[in-house]
Amino acid sequence: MTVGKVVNIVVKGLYRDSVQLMEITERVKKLEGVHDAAILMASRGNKDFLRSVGLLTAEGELADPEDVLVALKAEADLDRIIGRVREMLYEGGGPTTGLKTLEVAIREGADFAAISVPGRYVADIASKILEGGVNLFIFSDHVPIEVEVYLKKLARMRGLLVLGPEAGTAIVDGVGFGFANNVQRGPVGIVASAGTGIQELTTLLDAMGIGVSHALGVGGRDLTGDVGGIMSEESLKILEKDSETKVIALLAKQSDRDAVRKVLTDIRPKKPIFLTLLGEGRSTLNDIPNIPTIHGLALKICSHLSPAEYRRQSELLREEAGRLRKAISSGGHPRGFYCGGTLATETAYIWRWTGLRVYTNMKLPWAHSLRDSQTSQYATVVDYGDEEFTEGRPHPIIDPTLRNQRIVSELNSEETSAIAMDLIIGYGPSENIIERTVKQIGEAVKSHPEKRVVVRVVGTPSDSQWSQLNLLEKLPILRPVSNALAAAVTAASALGEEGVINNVLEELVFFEG
Amino acid sequence: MKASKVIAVGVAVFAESLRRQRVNVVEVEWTPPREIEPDLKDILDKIL
Repeated sequence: MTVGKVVNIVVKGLYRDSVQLMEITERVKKLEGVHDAAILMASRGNKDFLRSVGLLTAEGELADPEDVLVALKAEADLDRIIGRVREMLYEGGGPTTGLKTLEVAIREGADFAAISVPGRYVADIASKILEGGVNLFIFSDHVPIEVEVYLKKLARMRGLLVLGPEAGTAIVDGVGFGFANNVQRGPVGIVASAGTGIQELTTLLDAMGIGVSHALGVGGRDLTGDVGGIMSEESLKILEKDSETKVIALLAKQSDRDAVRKVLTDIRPKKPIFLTLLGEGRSTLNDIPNIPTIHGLALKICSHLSPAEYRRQSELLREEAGRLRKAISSGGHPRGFYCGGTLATETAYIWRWTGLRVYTNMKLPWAHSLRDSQTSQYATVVDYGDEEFTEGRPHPIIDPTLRNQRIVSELNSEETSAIAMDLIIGYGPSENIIERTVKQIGEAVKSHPEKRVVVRVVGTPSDSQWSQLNLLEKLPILRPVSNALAAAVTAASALGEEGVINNVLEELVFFEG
Repeated sequence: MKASKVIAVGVAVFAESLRRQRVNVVEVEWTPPREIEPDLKDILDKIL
């Protein structure tokens, strides 16, 4: 039993972003005499969280959303601990000197602006940037759909791009925005309303020796009926004209067929174009076959650019499938807990295709809705990057603690047969993200060797965290080359049928449409 | 299309990632504007 006194300190009018506060929280937890700590902006959601874990006092209740709230459970010398927290808030944790006002920055000119402020503040900032003639990458979520449509129409009028909102990733002329991986330059241009979909595709292509010209993440809602593909269309126009781009991939996590059809009709692409609309399965749109999985999309591009490499990749994949068939478990339900929404969507689709009854917190017309994201039902897939988990908190790609706690809890459940999860490295996640994940789930994984834990590591050997992968090798996990294969193995385990792996490969990955 | 100079507004870790890629990053000073209490806003919405 831990002892200690709960204290709250409110620092009025101080703003620090959620990642800075997460880092400070981690440092404070290590101070002598501290049993628990949470340092957060005092939003309503964050106060609810502190209340639920017994870290909110009457003083904290009175904090305003624009205040930093320091919640401690500590003993010993409280004054010393509080003094150290204050130092951290103002030393390395705060903005550095030399910052400019938005107006001055716009006046001085730039190629792009990257916005990652809470969604309700995006409209004002983004409008000013577009009026100033600068392209936009908007990472923020919680941006109202009408704001997104307004910004995209404004950008189109001015001949500018708005990548996002909810754009997790983009690569522009070799520069990675948000969560991107260090991949080779090359002939593939990508337009995607699928942040981790870009990461999955570009890292798979990288492993095949194929590089990327630009990967334009237009935000998860761009190809829905609400937005109508405004920025997908503008981005495709750019790639059509771009001399480095030889082939184009169009990838969507969620999409409206009419919106996609209109975009393709308007563009009439002259360059070879490859299409993956997740959830659409085998179908055809404007005479373009839909490739059901991202791994399938990468292989199709590979077969177009380098038939010899495609044959090599196919052989490697069949060998890997053979190894995985021998490693399946049996019985129970599969559970998928993801930081990346596109990967979660792909897993839900593949599981449903194999005949599993899929429940999820994502809005997927072809899957059942979970009554409560925290309680699993049948084959459950939870996207921890969903807005319900990210308000006032770092994205789970940066801080996967909540997701990892869920994995530990589900490993201890008798219902669970297999767990599918992602581990995303590259720009954005901390340097010790692999070590941290191993610390959080390692013991539980080792305690349940009968359950399959299948991890799709999204990254390349050029990403700074790649060298830590040996830490994962100490755990009894499977680490397939793609998320599609991770979904296939977990489905096969739940169904107790090793043939499922081959069925997924032949029908959804080696798709000859 | 280039990204050699980028304005960054918000989470510092993303600005740092861009710097590591040798991008000229102009970081903007940003704090959320002070907000009125939701209850007061509801009252004002009804009056105005």
